[in-house]
Amino acid sequence: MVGGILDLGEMSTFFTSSMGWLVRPPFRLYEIFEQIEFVGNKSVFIIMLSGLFTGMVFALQTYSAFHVVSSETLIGPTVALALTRELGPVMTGLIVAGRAGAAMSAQIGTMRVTEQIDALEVMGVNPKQYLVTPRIVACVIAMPLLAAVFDFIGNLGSYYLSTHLLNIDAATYLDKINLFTRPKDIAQGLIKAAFFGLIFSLIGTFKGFHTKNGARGVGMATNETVVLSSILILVSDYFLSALIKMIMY
Amino acid sequence: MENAIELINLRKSFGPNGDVLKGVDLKVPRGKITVIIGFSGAGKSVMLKHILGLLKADQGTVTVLGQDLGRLDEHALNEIRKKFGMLFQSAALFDDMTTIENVEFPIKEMRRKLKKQEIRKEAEQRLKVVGLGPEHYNKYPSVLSGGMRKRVGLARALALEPEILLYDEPTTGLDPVLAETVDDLIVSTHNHRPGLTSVIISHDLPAAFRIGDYVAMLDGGKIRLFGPPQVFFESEDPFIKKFVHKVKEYVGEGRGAPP
Repeated sequence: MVGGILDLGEMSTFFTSSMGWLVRPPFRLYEIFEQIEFVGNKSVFIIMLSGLFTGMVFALQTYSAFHVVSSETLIGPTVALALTRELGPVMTGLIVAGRAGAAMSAQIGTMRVTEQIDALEVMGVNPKQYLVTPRIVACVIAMPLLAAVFDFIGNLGSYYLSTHLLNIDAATYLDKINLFTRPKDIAQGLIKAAFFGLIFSLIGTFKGFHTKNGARGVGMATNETVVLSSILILVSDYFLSALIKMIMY
Repeated sequence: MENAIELINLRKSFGPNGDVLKGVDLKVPRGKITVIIGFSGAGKSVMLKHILGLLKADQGTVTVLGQDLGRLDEHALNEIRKKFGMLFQSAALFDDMTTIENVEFPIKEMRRKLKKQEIRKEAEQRLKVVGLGPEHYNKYPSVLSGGMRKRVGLARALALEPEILLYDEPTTGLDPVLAETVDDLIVSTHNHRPGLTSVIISHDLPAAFRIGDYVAMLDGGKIRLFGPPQVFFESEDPFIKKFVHKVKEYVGEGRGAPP
């Protein structure tokens, strides 16, 4: 428990020192784009797949409830709001944390135990600037984009399910969405997604950087990254949502 | 200056019972091959990390090429590091880069004004020196043999034409034939670069006496003895005598052959 709190402190210093390197040359633009491609482009397919089925199942389940009170037309906005505000960012966060966050800790952890990070330092290259900062920046940029994809495909799936299987009028479906959804509903989800990106990239790079004990250590670091990231995403989601509610509504 | 590296009363400990270096005094002469020997766990790698500025001493000073590392900021420290080349125990090649990219890396980082082709040419030159031709350029470290990895590591260490070349256990874990090849490579590399200071951390004792101009023995957190191999063979210290007796049998013709 104490160890966990100490870790948190260490992580904050780790974060601040890594971010300090953002404003010092060399700017590592190539590495940032490389990471955006890894975190972003390579996650698109799985995000689309997840988004599609999440949107569809949510529409299905909402239908059961609303059908009882004959409010099927509200499925559109309900699904839309649920996706953009919560499901989009959180699901994207969990999926990408498992994918990219784990990969980050595994790769950096392996570099640590094979002395590659020492080699970087010896060559006068700051390992945080070269390895950590680009990854964190890339995740903060890529995550909102991925969440947006999730939201869009999810709504698409929900739309097709509703209009073709559940016999809801297409025009009404779309009209109601327009009535109840505001840009700020989408925006808050994207901000959350960026924040989740920050969480798992920080944890992933931190755990990787501080890996010890060879292969076993790398395995542990990866495991801890996914578990901790997932928990923190879910927990912070609540607090973020509460905060957003206070500020925006 | 006469000494490339000077350690004065270097002390370092990790935690309450983790005294590793207990007052190390060492002067590494410029332009020579110095081998630092000592049993496993004696603190050789820790000492090496101090020389590189990767660790900060609890007490004492570390002076490299006339500069006190303790007084340098991150930027100045990085400048000094450009004058070092280091071969890690397992070569520590970047496994997401090919052979040629590994060697190009320090050149790209430190000499940003060079064009791509020029960087490539320099890298090819370094690889040629260690006996690796174009057929190896695009291979990844994972498909290279241990010996080849060391050679790529050496080429990378030499990329920026350093003044001080450090080797961390270069032959540990290699078969005797390969070990001797690596030793010869170390010597020929040294001889081809006038003014280069080579520092080798090793526990290959026969090799140390065969190739070293100077040998330093790290024992109990301090330098027990330092000097040309002669000094070890002529020492009256019973510990050293027992130590050397075993080694004498293996040392053949070489820079430090006994009389």
